[in-house]
Formats: sequence, C-alpha cells, structure tokens
Amino acid sequence: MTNEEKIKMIEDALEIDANTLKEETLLAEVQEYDSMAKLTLIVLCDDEFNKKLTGEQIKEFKTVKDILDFMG
Amino acid sequence: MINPMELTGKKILVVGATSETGKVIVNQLSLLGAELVLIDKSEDELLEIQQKTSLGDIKYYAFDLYDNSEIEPHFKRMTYDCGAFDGFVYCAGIGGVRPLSLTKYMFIHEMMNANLYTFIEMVRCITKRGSFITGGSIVAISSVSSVKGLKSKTAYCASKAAIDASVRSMAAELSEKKIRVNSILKGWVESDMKMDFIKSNMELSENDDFKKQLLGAIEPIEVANTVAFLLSDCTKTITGTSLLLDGGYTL
Repeated sequence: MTNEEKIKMIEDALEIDANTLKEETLLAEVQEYDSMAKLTLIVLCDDEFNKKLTGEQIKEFKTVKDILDFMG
Repeated sequence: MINPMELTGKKILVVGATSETGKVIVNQLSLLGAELVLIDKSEDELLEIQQKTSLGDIKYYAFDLYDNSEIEPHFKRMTYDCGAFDGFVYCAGIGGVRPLSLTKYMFIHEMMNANLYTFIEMVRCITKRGSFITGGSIVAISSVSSVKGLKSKTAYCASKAAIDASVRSMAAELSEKKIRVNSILKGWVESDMKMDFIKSNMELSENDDFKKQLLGAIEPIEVANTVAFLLSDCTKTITGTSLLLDGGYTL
C-alpha cells in the first residue's frame, strides 16, 4: 500500500476531509485527532496491517509520517 | 462457629477457569469445600491450576469454549463422568474496545458468541434432566458495562446487557426446577488492568474512566466471594438478579 493510500485510509477512518493530511502534517494541529481517533488508529492498524499499536506508542507519534512508518 | 458460605459437598463447574479472576474463584471455592470441575481452552493451564490447588477434588476438561457445536457432546461426557452439578460459574468471555465506525458484523458476532451464545448453550446443556440438582445455582460474570453507556464499547456493553436479560428469563423458566440464575456486574478489577486493550484505552482516556470507581479497584477475591455467596445456601431465594459489584462506579 502506498503512503497516499494509507493517508486516504486514515482520513476516511478519522472522518477528516480528503486531501487534508500530508506526511509532514503535525498531529497536534489536527483538530480531529482526539482520543477516539487514537483508538480508531489502534483498531485500524490491527485490522488492516496486523500490527499491535499501544497507547504508549501512539503518544510518540508527532507527524502523519510517524503513523505511516508504523503501518509499514 | 459457622460459615454460611460453606460449599462442602457441592459439585461446581467453573467455565473460564484460567482467566485471572477465574483462578481466584477456583481457589476460593476450593477453600470453601467445593468439589470442582473446570473448563477452559488450555490443558496446560488447567493442569497447572489442578496441581496448585491442593485442597479438595478438582477435575478438568479442555476444549474450545466458543465452538458451539462442541459444547453439547463435551457436556454429555462430563455429566456422564461426574454426575449432576450443584453449581455453575461462567467467567469466560472476551472484551474489546472499538469505535462505532469500526464495529462491524464479525466483531459483534464474536463478542456475542463468547459472552452470550456460549453461556446460554452451556446453561441449556447443564440444566437438562439429571445434569443439575434441584436447588442448584448458576452465576455469570457480567459487567457494569451492561448498565452504562461507554464510548467504543457498543458490542461489549450489548453482550453484557444480553447476559443479564438472559439471566432473568432463564431464572423464571428454571424456577420450576428450583434452579437459581444470577449475574454479577463487576467494575474494574485489579487484574483487568494487565489486559492490553484496557491498558491502551486507559492511557488514552488518562484513567478518567477508572477514577469514577469511587472505592478504587476491586480485588479478585471479592468477586470470588460474591460468586460463593450466590452459589451457597445463603441465597436460596435470590434469583434473576444482577448484583452490582462496582465500587460506586455507577453512582
């Protein structure tokens, strides 16, 4: 899966307008990135990439690229 | 001195015996004199419990609890081997948090299967004639999630509320056989905190949810004692109840 596809998936899951997120976007500046969004990411990583994301790891994410890198 | 919660001479089936709370329940019921039969998936873990619990008689059966086609044949064999039961404790089941947007059919189905379908199927099998004694008691471990609305727990809350609803109906129907059926709505238990999905959820909510439990975490032994209370002759007319054990969480 390309980074563009992953970003699209994240935008869709977190109900963020399409083409809003860039790799360098700071998560702290994304209004929709709240605790429910973080939980959604945990489930998404498990379902789509078979990767276990913990609450600790998610706190380390600074940019969209950090999420993409984790997804692998 | 008397101990009204004594279970000497009672044969009790514990399903989900290898869970953290299950182990404590097994140990306490054994100390109270019960003769135990355990069911869970892992034979190794059941054997370990059997060896560690030195008091009383313990038998076990290992099989996949959540394969509903397997339950009836296993229960037939078990009642043939062991005779009729006085008590049944269901502390199996699964948890899981998921935002509504990702709560799809299979996730709900697996949750309902583990928390509800398996429980009802086991009660159906164990209350057949000759398998359960008159005056016996059934206890299911439910959760405060049954009566609270919680973000990301639609499937879990629904499955626990379904257990409690089934308990009331089964209590009404089984009253003809003088069999009691109750559930325990437990809040946060210390050992729950070790579970991955709860840890992640807690970190994200910054423990707000846990703080609502005014008296703090519940010790597993208190769950075990409440199970024993409902199994014992202390509670001969308590049936169809969902007993809150929640440290004030629902206040």
